[in-house]
Amino acid sequence: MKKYYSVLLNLCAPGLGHFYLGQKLKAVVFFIAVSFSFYLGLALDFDHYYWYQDIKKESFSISYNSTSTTTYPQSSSLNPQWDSSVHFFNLNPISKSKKISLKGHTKPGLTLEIFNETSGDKVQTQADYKGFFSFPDLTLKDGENKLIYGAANDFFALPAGREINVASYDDPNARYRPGTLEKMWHFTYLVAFPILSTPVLHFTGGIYQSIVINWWDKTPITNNKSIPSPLKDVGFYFLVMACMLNLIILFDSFDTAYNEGSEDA
Amino acid sequence: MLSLEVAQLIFLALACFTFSVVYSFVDNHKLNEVQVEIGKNFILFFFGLLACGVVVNALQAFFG
Repeated sequence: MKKYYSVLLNLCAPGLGHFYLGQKLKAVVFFIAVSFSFYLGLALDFDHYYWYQDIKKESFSISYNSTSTTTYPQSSSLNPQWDSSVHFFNLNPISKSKKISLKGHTKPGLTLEIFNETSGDKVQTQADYKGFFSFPDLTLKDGENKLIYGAANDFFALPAGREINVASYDDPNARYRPGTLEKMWHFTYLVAFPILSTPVLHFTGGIYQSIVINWWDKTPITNNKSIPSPLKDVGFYFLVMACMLNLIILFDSFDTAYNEGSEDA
Repeated sequence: MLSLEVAQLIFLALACFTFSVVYSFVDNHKLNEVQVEIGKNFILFFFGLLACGVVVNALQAFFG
């Protein structure tokens, strides 16, 4: 049974199975190697926890009341793993001001829009490379306003001077339909990555990303204002590598326990 | 400030080093063997990947 326990423990945290088998140095080295690959990958690839298929149109009611005395503090907390796909920092049910400027966090680079069904006003914006967005002012009407927000399928592009179809994330008949290869990638992301990267790394990833999200602004490596896409790809490869390393470690713990040849093995 | 190519080379070296460390610990039992193997693996992985890059670039230069 020892060999199965060691594999199960290595599936809980990298190196834990080796620690259980008494190979403490190996356990520490494996934990550091896998964690290093995983966290370095997450620091370069900020949209690891976001999914286009989850970005649906949502609605929210907001009341304009200039005499309201209720105050809402603006939040700035984010966790890419658990937040909704479009996460607002200052979406409050009552507004004292006739114009609101909504801020928040979403999938990096995503085009977004808010439509005020009551007034017919629409605003659009695009999230930056870290996923932060800030909408232009949206006008409210007296009383209750129904806001519909989500990904902007038709985004006004200034150079073109018109709205261009970016994608249609929420329309099943539109051109964004994942193919077989993409479905396989979804499976890899949603099943293989969380299992192989172990719960310890997978569930601390969102907290880690929220802490390091501004690192490039403070200490850029290259002469770019944002993380260049080749380095974002490098981040993704590091995440894949963390999973592959852990797979090798799983086999090694099984092998080690098997070769020990003890009565328990 | 680094150029993008140098930054990528540094990340490649880091990845090769991590991979060679794990492979050395998997393949060897004694610590002195592990230490020697890390260097050997690193050279093989790093220069192997650089050689792949050279081949790809040569093919692209030839075939366009």
